[in-house]
Amino acid sequence: MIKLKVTDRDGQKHEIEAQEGDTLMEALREHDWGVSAICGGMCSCGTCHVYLNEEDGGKFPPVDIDEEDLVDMLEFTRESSRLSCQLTLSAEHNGVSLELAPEE
Amino acid sequence: MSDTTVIVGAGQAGLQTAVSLRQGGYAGRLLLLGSEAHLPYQRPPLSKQVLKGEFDADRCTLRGADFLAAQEIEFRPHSRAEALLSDQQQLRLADGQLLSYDALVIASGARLNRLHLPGSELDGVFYLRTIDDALTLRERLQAQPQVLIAGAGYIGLEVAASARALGCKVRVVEAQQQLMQRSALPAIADFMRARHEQEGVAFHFGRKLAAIHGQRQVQRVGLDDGTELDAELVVKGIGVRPDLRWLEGSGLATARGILVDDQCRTNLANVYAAGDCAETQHPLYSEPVLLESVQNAVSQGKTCAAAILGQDTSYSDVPWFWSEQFDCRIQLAGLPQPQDELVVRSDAPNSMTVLALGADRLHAIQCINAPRDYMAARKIIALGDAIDRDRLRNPKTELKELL
Ligand SMILES: Cc1cc2nc3c(=O)[nH]c(=O)nc-3n(C[C@H](O)[C@H](O)[C@H](O)COP(=O)(O)OP(=O)(O)OC[C@H]3O[C@@H](n4cnc5c(N)ncnc54)[C@H](O)[C@@H]3O)c2cc1C
Ligand code: FES
Repeated sequence: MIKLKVTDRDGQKHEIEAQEGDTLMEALREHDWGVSAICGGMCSCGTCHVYLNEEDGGKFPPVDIDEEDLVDMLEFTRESSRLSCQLTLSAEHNGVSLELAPEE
Repeated sequence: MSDTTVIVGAGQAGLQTAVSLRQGGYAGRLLLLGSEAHLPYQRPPLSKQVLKGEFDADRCTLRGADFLAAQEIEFRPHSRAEALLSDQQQLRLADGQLLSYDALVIASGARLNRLHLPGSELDGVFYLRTIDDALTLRERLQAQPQVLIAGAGYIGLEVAASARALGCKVRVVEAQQQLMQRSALPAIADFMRARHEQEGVAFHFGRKLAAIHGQRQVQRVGLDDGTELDAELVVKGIGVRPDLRWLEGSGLATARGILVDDQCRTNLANVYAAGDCAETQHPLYSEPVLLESVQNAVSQGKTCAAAILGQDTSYSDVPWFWSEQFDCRIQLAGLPQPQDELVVRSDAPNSMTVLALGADRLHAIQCINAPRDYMAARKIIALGDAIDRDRLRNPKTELKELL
């Protein structure tokens, strides 16, 4: 079990548990305040958009071209934007904190 | 507000309705009926990651049992609705049980078009709609049989790509002269035909299956021009349509699907419909549309919930869809209209963008491996503003600049 700290769109903070091997999107989708992830992780919709701080962001592989192309075109993109469906969780992600981006 | 909402169909649209009702503060009882054995799951990976063995079945589950319990969504698998008794606001299930509703959402999806041919009952003839279909098919594909696919629609072509990835010999028989005839623009269809052929898929256009031959197992397929092709496995991908049979006599207005307005309301009081089964009066189009996509199912699920909660709502989202075949991600948004001017742009290898331009607006985009164009065009279509056609035609203009 990995623990993550998530700030939802209303600014509420939650501590959630996730399984190693799942994507971050799959962990977030399990909560009513979570992401809608319409395309189910196919890097096609941008509805799983999150912000990671620099340190925690560095614990995941860098953005690939597909993800970059989509993120660039989203409404609320920031430097720290990631698509949570492209991030697979492992033990080193325990304690990571993140924020959900506004819905598109 | 209603006390009990019953949702028929625990797929993408039904689940979304339930989730959105709770998110919107719905305090009544929520029953989510699924005719399958499984928790609500998504279908897109079935023909892609599941067939290729990249996803196991669990990975397709949309929401777990814990989530449903926490949200007080009473999920009932193996519960098929059999009749709608609208006068008394009741539903009859296959086991005879009667359920009363204050609001009813029909999200029962679509059923497969069946192809009744001699030999259809042979071992090795498959359809693909459910997760059980996908798992059986996957197992059979592991042995690298010779595969024949009837129908070059999205699902047929995704199965073709997955079967090639697994090393199977693949043939596709298509009655029309083009791939994805129903929704892809010709340039996109031709591009994908070339990709499939490069990957070793053989096409037989303008032909239909006439019979399937074999002892117990499929061995050969006969086409309507007399051609005989060897095949050990036949996959029929000849489309779906809403299953309206159980609604006969209910008074519900239907055409190709269940007719709904932009708030997903049917002609019957307190009865709503969403997803593949709904034919929608969409504000963007003059004719009702019947869409088969995750986007439509999810958006209409949200609309149903808002309508039940008495919120002001209108479903006017630009329709969008995607498909994956080999290394090509195909993305579509909007619906091209018959008089549209088609502009084809291609800036990078293995990619293409086609824009369908109306007199003063962008109607649709269809593209392959061009997510930037896709996202920008989706926004331009949604805004519905007048466009500068010359700039759109110029391949040097980044679509984003037009926003
Ligand atoms: C193999 C495959 C690949 C696809 N790929 C894509 C893709 O890449 N992108 C995309 O956008 N779309 C794709 N689609 C289409 C997409 O999955 C559907 O549009 C979407 O699932 C529709 O959601 P729905 O809730 O309306 O119907 P469904 O998800 O089909 O759910 C309806 C549910 O209702 C149940 N049901 C039916 N009748 C009854 C009854 N009488 N009582 C109780 N329950 C009932 C059914 O068993 C089913 O579980 C794909 C579909 C398939 C089959
Ligand atoms: S879930 Fe659609 S892009 Fe991540």
